[in-house]
Amino acid sequence: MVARQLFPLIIVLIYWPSMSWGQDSTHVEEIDPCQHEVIVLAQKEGLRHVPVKKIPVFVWQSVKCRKTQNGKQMLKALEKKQLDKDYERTKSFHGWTITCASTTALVVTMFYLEYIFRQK
Amino acid sequence: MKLQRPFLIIIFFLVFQNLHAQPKWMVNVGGGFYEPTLTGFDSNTEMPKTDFMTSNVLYGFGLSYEFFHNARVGLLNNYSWHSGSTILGTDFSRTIAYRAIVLETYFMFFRRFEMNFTLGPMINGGTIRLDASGTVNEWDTLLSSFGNNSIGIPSSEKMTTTWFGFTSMIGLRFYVFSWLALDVRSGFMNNWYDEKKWKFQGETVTGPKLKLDELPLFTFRLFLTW
Repeated sequence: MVARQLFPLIIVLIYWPSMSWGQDSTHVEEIDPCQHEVIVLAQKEGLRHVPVKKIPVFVWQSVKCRKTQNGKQMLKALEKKQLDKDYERTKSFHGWTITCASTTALVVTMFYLEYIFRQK
Repeated sequence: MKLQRPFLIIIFFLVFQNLHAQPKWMVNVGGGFYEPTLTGFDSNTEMPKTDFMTSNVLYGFGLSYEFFHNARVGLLNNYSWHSGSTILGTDFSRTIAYRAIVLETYFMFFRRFEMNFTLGPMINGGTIRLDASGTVNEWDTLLSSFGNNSIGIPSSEKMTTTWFGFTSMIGLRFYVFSWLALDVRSGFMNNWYDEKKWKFQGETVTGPKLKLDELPLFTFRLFLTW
């Protein structure tokens, strides 16, 4: 009775290792992590274009890519490219934003001046 | 009326075309300092004593989204928290939450340095909680009838209030990486706090005296951006 119950387990124990050992690992192709689609997307469009839900994949592939030859330099270049892009995009105010910024600066300055003079 | 709809659609596209062009979310955690006058707590001998950490330090987090060139909208939360035991040994906690819906405009003056200008209304809240323990007559009578002594029944209750405010700050941000930044800001907040507008069990009651108007504010935060 016990042997009958253990029969499926015995089958699994016999077949599973044999199937695992039988697998030919020489034909499994290692994909270059630096060529992963999220890394390629970041290279083409910039880091900020990687969708939020793909960030974990991007982080994992970046870690793996960093370990490859030239991977570190490539990621550094990617980082620099993004910072340059951000700088170029926001180095001067556009449209109505200057009004908001100057209003804020004025309000804060007025407050501090009033605060300092009130203390004296 | 007929002319308005196409006009609104054109404005919508002109304004929000940037929304998909530069997606940029930011989450932040950090803290700050301010100098309120918490008269109602400082002078109250029943409550645990206040100190620098409980009255002048703020803890906070926030979220913002870049919706236009040089502009973001977001939520900034700052909390002042105090807990301890009253002189009778009852657990006490006090929270003041400063919640701001902010409009941030900014520009980068070097490759890693940004100057930002924050402006926004605030919806603030205060909570005082006491985990008191006392006897209830009906239970006392019933327990006594079985020959028991009085047993304290815990009752946790809180009094709350809400008030509006306004904040404005100027800040400096340094991008360590394109996705990580350190941010310091200085400015002020103004609060229209009224101690007569506290609520306890649905009733309007008088709360502690606090001077929260025209407060200088200094914050530092760590930003994760994408």
